[in-house]
Amino acid sequence: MEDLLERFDDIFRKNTCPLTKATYLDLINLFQKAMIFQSTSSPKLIEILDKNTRQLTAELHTHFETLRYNKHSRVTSALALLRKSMSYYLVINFILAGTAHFTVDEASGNKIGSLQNILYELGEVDPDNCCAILDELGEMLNHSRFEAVITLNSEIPVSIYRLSLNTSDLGVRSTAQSVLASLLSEDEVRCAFFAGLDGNSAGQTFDSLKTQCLYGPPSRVESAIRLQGFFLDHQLRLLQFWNQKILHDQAQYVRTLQKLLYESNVLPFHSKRNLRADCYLLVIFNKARCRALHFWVALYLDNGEWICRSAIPITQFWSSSL
Amino acid sequence: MENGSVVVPSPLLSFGLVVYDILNDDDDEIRELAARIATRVIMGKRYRRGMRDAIPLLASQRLAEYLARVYPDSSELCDGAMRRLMGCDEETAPFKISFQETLARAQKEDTTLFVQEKQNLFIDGAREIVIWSRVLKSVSSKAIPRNLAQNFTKWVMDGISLLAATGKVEIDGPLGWTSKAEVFTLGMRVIYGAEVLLNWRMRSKKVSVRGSEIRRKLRDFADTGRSGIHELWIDRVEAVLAYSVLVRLALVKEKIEMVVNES
Repeated sequence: MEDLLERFDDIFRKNTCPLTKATYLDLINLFQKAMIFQSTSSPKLIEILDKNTRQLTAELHTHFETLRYNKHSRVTSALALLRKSMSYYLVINFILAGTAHFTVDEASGNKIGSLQNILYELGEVDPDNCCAILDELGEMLNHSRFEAVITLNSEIPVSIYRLSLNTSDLGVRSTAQSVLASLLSEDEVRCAFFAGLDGNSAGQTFDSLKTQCLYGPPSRVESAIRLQGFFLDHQLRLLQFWNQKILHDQAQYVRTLQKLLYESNVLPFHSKRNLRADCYLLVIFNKARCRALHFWVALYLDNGEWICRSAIPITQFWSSSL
Repeated sequence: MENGSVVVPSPLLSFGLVVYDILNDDDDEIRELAARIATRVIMGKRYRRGMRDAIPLLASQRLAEYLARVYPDSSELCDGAMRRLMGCDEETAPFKISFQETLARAQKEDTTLFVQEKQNLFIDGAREIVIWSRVLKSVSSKAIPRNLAQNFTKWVMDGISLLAATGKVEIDGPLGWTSKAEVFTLGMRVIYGAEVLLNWRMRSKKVSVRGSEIRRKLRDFADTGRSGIHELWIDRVEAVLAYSVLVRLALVKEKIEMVVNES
C-alpha cells in the first residue's frame, strides 16, 4: 500500500488518462476499505492518504465547477468515472480518518468540507454518481463489521439525512433515504441518530415523508415508507402517549403498508405440488379405521330430533371438561 | 402484554394484523422476516436478541392466538378476523354478494386457454378459515358488532341450505362439484362459520337464529351428505354437532349437580 501511494505523483498527478487515474484511485479505495474493515492503520499511511486527499479535494472541486458551467457538455461526461472514483476516495477517507474536515488550497477561495458537503455538491452537479456512491456506501456500511464505525462516527447517518433533506434531485433523495433507513435498522445507530435530532426537524421530516408516501411515485414511496416508520416511532417516544394526531398518522401508515403489500405482491413463477389432497386422503383413511374402535352415541335434543350420530367414546361423553 | 393485565394500545393491533398478512406472503424470505417480527410482537418486553424464531406457519398461528388473547374486546379484531375468514380484502364488504352468487362463481369452470396464476400461491384458504374461526370464538360478546352478526348469520344459514340442496341434486365424487378448490373452501367457510355462530349464540343474543335451528340445518346437511358429499365436510359437520351437544350436556350436568347439591 505504501508503495502504491508513493507513486501517486507518477500515476495520478502527472497522468492525463482519466481511466488510469480512476483505476488507481479504485485500488486505493479497496485498501482503505480493508483498513476500515480490519480496524488497522499506520500513522504514515494516514499521513500520505491525508496529503493526497487535499489534492484530490481541490481537483474534485474543479470538476464540480466545470460541471456547473458546462452542464450539457460532452467533455465533462468522459470524466464521470474519474469523478466517481475521486468522490468515493474522499468519502472512504473521511470514514477512515474519522475526521470531519478536509481543507482545500486557500487560493481557490472555496471549501469542500465534510462528508455532508461532498455528498451535497456531488448530488447537485452529478446526481448519477452521487446515487452510485450512496449505494456503495450503504452496501459497505451495512456490513456487520462497520456497525461500530457508524456508531462511533455519528456524522455518517446525519450527513446522509441532511442530504436527503437538502438535495434538489429526487433520485438522490430516494437513494439517501434508502441508505439511511438501512443504517437506522441497527438499534444503537438509531438511538444515537435520534438523540441528536431536534423535535421540529423530526416532525417536519415525518410530514414530508408522509406526503411522499401518499402522493409520490412508487419508487419514491418505497424509499420513504421505511424511514417513515422510524420517525413515527420517534414521534411516539417524544410524546410518550397516543394522541389524536399520532393515532391518525399511525392509521395512515398502516394503511399505506397494507396497500403496498397488496399491490407489490410479486408473482414468482415456480411450481408447487399440491400436498393438500394427499393429506386429506390420509386423514380419511385413519378416521375410517378409528371409527371401528368406537361405538355410536345417539343424542336427542329437547325437540326430540336426532341431531348427532357421532363416533365418540362413552367415557369422553361424561368426563369431557368443557 | 402477554397476560392481558397490562393495557396495550389498540393501534398496535393494526400493526399485528399487517404482520400476520406478511406471514402469508408469497415470498419465503419475506415470511422469514415477518416471523422474526412476529416473535418481537408476541414477546414484547421479554424479547431478547438471539431468541429463536418460529417458522412462519407456526408464527402466524401464534400471532393470531396472541391477538385474540390480548384484544378480546376489540371490534377491530372481530372485523379483521371476519374479513380473513371470508377471504375479503379491506375494501370489499364481506357479505355484499349473496351466498348463491358466491357459490355460482366458485363452481364456474374456467375455460380460458391460459389459466391466470393466483397472486398468492402460498396462502391456504382452509387454514385461514380454521385460524380465524378460533379467533372469532375468542372475542368477547361486546366486540361483536350487531350488524356483522346478523349478516354473518344470514350468510351461513343460506350457505348450509344451499349446500344441502346442491348435494341432493348434484352427484359428487373424486372429481365432483366439491373437489373444486374454491367450492371446498367455501363449504369449509360455511361449516366453521356455523361453529362460530353456535359459540356466539351461547354468549349473546346478537345471533338472531336459535342454536337448535343451526344444529337442525347442519344435521340435514350431514344426512344429505351421506349420499356422497365430500367426506371432510361431513366429518367437520359431525364434529361441530358433537361438540355443540357436549356443551349443552355439560350445562345440563352443571344444573343437575347444582340441584343435587342444594338438596
